[in-house]
Amino acid sequence: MLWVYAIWEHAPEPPLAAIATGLADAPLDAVRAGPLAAVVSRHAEAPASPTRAALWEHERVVEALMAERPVLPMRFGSTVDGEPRIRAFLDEREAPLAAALARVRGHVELSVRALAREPAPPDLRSSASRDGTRTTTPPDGTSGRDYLLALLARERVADDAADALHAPLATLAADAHRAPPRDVGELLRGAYLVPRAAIPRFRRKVDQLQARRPDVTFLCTGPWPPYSFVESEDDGFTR
Amino acid sequence: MGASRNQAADNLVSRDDVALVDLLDRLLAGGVVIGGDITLSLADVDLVYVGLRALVTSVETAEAQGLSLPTSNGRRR
Amino acid sequence: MDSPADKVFSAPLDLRPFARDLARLDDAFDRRIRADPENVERGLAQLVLTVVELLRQLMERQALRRVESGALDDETIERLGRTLMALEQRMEELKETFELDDEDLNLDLGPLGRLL
Repeated sequence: MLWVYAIWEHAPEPPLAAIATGLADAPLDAVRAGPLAAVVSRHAEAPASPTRAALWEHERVVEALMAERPVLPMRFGSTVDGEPRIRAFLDEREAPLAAALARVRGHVELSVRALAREPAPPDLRSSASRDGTRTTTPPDGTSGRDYLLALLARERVADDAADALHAPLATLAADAHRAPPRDVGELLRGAYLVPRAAIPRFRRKVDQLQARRPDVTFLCTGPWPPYSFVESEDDGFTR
Repeated sequence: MGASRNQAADNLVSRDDVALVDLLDRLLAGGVVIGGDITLSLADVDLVYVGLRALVTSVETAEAQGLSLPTSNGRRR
Repeated sequence: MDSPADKVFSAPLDLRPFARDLARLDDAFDRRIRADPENVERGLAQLVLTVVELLRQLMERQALRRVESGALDDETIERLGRTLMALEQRMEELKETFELDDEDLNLDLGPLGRLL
């Protein structure tokens, strides 16, 4: 089986062996189709279950590749039985994959999460709570229409709260995604495609936002390979 | 060098941990997918294979892609 | 490659709120949904209710988009709202029955989670 790390534009130099070794010390190899190649390692059986060490080892390989030239990282655990499957995929998806590589060239992904600072004062635990999530069930007799309108209102509160934090960061990025709120108290979970040269400016912006918003706590991590930017809406079925 | 661990007795979460959370968010839900599958197994026996590519989507998105969908009363759109 | 800790740019002193995911991610680490005989019933209930909750949230979200679009008549809006309200109520009852809270139902469903 082949464990796949990333897709990139093939080039003869430098040899993959000079860049990195794969999981379980297996050598890296390139499966090519046209201008693209998938970087893989070969194994008799799955080389890794998702332990922390395996995840970081996989990530190390992707980042070593990214140091050479633009990559589209694979989802962890991408395995195929043989090369034909990969070649077929690269052939079928050549145009969107090449476009994605062009989009991410020279960029890295930065992550920003923002949480409401705990604890929330009791008087804010109303049905229209600060982060917009539902904390009470509707009283008896609520009409279906009012229920939906209340949900919409809460969604807008959460969206506005997230946008207030997301928008200033998105302006510094070539592309940006904001995930829908997941947890109670999670105000923002954003991914930003930032030119390498703009990293210091982005970090300063996060610090500025933090200084302006003592009610929020920020976490910024990176640089990451562009996991969140491998597809665009034009590709047809996306997440 | 390495993790700047907070030495407070009750803080057992390190920078490594939060970096892992952000890495996992990307590794497990981002990145390129060839196929995209889930294998359900019981007691280590593979039982059910689920092809994810078009498993769940909104009706609007599916119609926009020209998919012919059955309605809930059995007719097709 | 940087060490993992080097990946953290800006962070508060107390990192715990940002690591809440880790507890339930231990379940998500394996794409295979495991079931061992001792914990089968509770694990199964957790799995089933998580999928149900995911679908409920998906439908709720889509319903809100429809309402916003203005394409639904009042009667349909009322019916949709009543149904979603009943669904939410029923979810609460099920969670109580199985002693599961929202945290328990947050199994990471990978790409499906992103559909939310």
